[in-house]
Amino acid sequence: MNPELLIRKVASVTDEEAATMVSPLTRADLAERIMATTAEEAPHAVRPRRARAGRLLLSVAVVGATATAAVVALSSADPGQQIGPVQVGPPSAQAAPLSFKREGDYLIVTVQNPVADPARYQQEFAERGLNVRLSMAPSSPQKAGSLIFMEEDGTGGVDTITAEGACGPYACAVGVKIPVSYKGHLSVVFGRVALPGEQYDTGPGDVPGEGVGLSDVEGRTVADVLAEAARRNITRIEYRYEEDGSDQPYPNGIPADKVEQDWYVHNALAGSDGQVIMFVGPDPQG
Amino acid sequence: MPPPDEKRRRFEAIYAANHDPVLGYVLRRTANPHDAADVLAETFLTAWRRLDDLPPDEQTRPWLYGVARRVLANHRRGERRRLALGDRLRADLADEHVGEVPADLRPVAEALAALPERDRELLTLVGWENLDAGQIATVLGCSRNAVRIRLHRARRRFTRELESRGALFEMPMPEVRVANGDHT
Repeated sequence: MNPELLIRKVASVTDEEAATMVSPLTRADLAERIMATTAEEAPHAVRPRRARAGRLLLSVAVVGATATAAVVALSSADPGQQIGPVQVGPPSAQAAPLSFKREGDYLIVTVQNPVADPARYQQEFAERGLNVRLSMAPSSPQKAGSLIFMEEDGTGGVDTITAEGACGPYACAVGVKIPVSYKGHLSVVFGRVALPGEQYDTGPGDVPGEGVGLSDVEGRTVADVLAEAARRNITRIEYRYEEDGSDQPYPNGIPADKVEQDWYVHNALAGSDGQVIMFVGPDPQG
Repeated sequence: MPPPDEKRRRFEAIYAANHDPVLGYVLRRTANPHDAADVLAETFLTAWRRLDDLPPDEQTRPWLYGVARRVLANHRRGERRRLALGDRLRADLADEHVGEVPADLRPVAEALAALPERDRELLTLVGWENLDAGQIATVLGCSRNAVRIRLHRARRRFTRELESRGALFEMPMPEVRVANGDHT
């Protein structure tokens, strides 16, 4: 008599059910991608998500007087400057990455250069005796200027300043308001509009395609998605064919000239070096 | 180091045989499809990188469960890694919904939830993954004997929890599984 036989009955999913959740293409795709990794490629760590809901809500209230001041000072990056999809480094070292302003018992810190190297922000905080890690992650326009992540293990009292209105790659009125006496560790990530070709980094919960800078591609026509890709300067596109769950007759990808404009896009993935892989087929669903 | 082709072949065989069980293992322990995708991807990425360390035969799968277990624990601590590798899988799993426990079995789920994590882990490795003591020892990285002793205690505590809920379950005798969970 084993209680495990009873326990078995309350398993939420059987292996057989799990098997049906993943399409054959996804299954093969993951194996291929894993085998294509090299030993040196460390999986890119994503910030911890220990943000507490209560803290996240706090941020909403503080958009106000302090936020507007920051819009004025921008980085000196030339908007036309070619920035590759991978390199997101500082466009220049001239603009001070952060501005600090004392207001009563608080220090108001606003981001001056939203594309600065996060290490520089940290250094600026450290020079003022604060253990704060702040960064700006490329995100969809909807999430730009908003707080993506916050973790705080200090005494509390920290507020965030989120952007009102446009938050382009070079302008982002975001910041934090920290008690002068703050001794804890604080980690904050804000969204900023992605540079052309740059991949979004907004964490889990993104809709398919969002991670490659194309929002909500599923079910849209090839022509439609390509137009959006062109607007975003995404030019390196590879295609995979899907029809009725099969990749035949193009198991190794379909050449671009065989892809019809009125076909449908099923999904889009980030390839290496800013390349985008689109799963397409004649039917709305693969 | 085996030649690249042989390495690929070995990985492909391991992947094909274990993809579904590892996915099942993860999905039974997290309700979040994004986490599940990340954990699965990272588990097999680890397997690919440490292919030479993988034990053969019936110890392969417990070894993979052990990796998945550590990655899951990291996730619970908030140390989440997001692998671009898992993007497609994440999209697949996001559409899936895990079923609810039927009303008559709810006391079982509750009793299980009331147990300390250590007990629950052991009992589910037997009940859900069908592992024996030796395989569990591989998952947990402890001795087979320790598993047996701890399992014995976990069973006792589970039975007590179940009884305290006033649930009258006849412990089913070992039997061939009934299709679709029909009641006999």
